Amino acid sequence: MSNLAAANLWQRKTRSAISIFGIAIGVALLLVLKGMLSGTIDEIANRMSNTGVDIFVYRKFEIWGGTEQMPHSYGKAIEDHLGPDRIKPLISIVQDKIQVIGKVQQENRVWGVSKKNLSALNVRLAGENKGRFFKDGSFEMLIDGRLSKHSGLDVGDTVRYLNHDWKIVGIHHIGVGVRVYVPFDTLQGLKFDRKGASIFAVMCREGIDPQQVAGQIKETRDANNEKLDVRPIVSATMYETFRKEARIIDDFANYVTIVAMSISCLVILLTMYTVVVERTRDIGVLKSLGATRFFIARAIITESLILCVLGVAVGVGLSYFAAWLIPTISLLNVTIPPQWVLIATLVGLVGGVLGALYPAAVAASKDPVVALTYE
Amino acid sequence: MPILKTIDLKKSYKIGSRWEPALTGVDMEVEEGEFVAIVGPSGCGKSTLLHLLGGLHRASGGRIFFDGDELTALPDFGLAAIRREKIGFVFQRFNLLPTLSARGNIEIAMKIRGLPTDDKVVEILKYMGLGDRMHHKPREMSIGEQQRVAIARAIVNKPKLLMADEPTGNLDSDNSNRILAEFKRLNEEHGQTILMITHNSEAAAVASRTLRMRDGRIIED
Ligand SMILES: Nc1ncnc2c1ncn2[C@@H]1O[C@H](COP(=O)(O)OP(=O)(O)OP(=O)(O)O)[C@@H](O)[C@H]1O
Ligand SMILES: [Mg+2]
Repeated sequence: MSNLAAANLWQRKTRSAISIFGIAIGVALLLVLKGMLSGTIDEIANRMSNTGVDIFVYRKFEIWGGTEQMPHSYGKAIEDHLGPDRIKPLISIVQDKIQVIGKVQQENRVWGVSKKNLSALNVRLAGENKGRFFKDGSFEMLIDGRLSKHSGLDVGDTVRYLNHDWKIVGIHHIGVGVRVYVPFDTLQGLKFDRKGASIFAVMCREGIDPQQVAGQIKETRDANNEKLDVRPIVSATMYETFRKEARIIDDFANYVTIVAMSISCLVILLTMYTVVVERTRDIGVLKSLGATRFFIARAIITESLILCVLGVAVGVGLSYFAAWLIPTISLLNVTIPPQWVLIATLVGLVGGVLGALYPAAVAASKDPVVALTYE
Repeated sequence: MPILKTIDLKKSYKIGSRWEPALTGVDMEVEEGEFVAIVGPSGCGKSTLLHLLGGLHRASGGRIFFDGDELTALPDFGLAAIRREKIGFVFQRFNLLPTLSARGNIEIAMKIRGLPTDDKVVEILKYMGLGDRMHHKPREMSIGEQQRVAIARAIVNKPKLLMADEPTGNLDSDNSNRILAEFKRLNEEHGQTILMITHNSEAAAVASRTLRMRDGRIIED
């Protein structure tokens, strides 16, 4: 049975290859999209938690964190409310975005942090000959190793940002916080009209539960006895928070699942329908030999399944290749979730079998004499 | 007790809105071990008759009895079972599966019939003088060889009845003679019952009995 299917597929190699490729594209599309979503969220959540910060307090939380200003008094109020026994002194961060940096045309977050706080956030230089930290109040900049590689910029180069020339003075180790650091006071002066920050980073004392602290931050009141307008995000739940914020992309990926299945279905439907028409005489011969409808239908479905299995295999292969390639040529990350390999496999196979049902039914119900005399 | 018997067998085809009769009432009997040739002018209904007897088509009227079953009373899957177990077909155009080798063509027939694909495949190909053509695809074989593969495929399950529709129609005289000799050998050495349609009087002469058809009925036995 599978001999006949394999022989038939082998005989029309080009068409089989195209069908396999069609299914592979659908599967790869799904896996790479899911992989990019997971990879990006994973990486950012990791980077945030690598700073050692327990809670990030924003005014308004957008995807990847907010840039809106909070007055300095907020930080003071939080510190007073919780007290030095429960939390370390807050780290104030000004967050901004840089659109173009060297050859990289992709938005990257920038943190304005005081020199002292760089160490508090676990920022380290990438190596001994990788420059130094910036001076407070200067137009100096740190970028991470990966951004350095992709932007083509290194220590000593200049970056145009907020209508100023910034000098890169150091390359920092990847994977901690953001990719671009500048001095806190310089960025604050450029972005805000009065003193403030866009993030207050909270580190809890040992044995203190960040969840509880986050709850108390929400209850904190300012000098006018009004509740602070803030949103604290606990680092440990960052991944879930991002996932929720990125739900729209997740939903989109789920639609792609349906698209991928439809591609499989249509590719197999068209291929196998053509095959059934082309092989009308062969079907007549099989019937004259006494083949049942079931036998004929199974022959068609076997052929489709072979195409689908190969298509899924090629698609998964392509996806892993993309998962390796994309991060090496760009700043994007791709982590293919293993359970999605399973889902994509099912999508390819189920789509294929659904697509084969109609051609199989057509083949099975052909009149043997008409089929035998078909030209 | 004949192995095959028809009573007032009729078949009409619908052409547009009219029904055109192709068989107008065929009564015939074939005994086990006979080699029967059916001859007659083109369009007289020979192929139609063969298709009905082989359970490939349904009659419009009349009855067919074959080896203890009434074909005209069987459902589709019953007819498929009869074809699988008791009938072998040989066609004018060989009708081998083009993607399979000689051996593959016979093996698939055995698989359909639920037989194990064992040494019998080799045996039957050798019997048909095709021992060195086993791995050839149909297009890599001469037409005579192709037709011998088709015969091997038809007889591999030792059918009760071998049916052939102008088996020599596409062959030159040398190949025709060889095929006819094979049929005769099968009939004489193995008692194979054969029903063969032919245009060719030489071919008919090989048979032990000739039925002459005209206008959808048998006019001479
Ligand atoms: N599928 C069909 N639909 C309509 N008419 C058909 C069909 N098959 C056969 N006929 C008609 O039935 C009649 C008998 O055809 P059949 O094929 O049985 O003749 P035949 O004796 O085998 O002829 P030939 O020697 O040319 O093969 C012919 O008039 C033919 O046109
Ligand atoms: Mg005919």
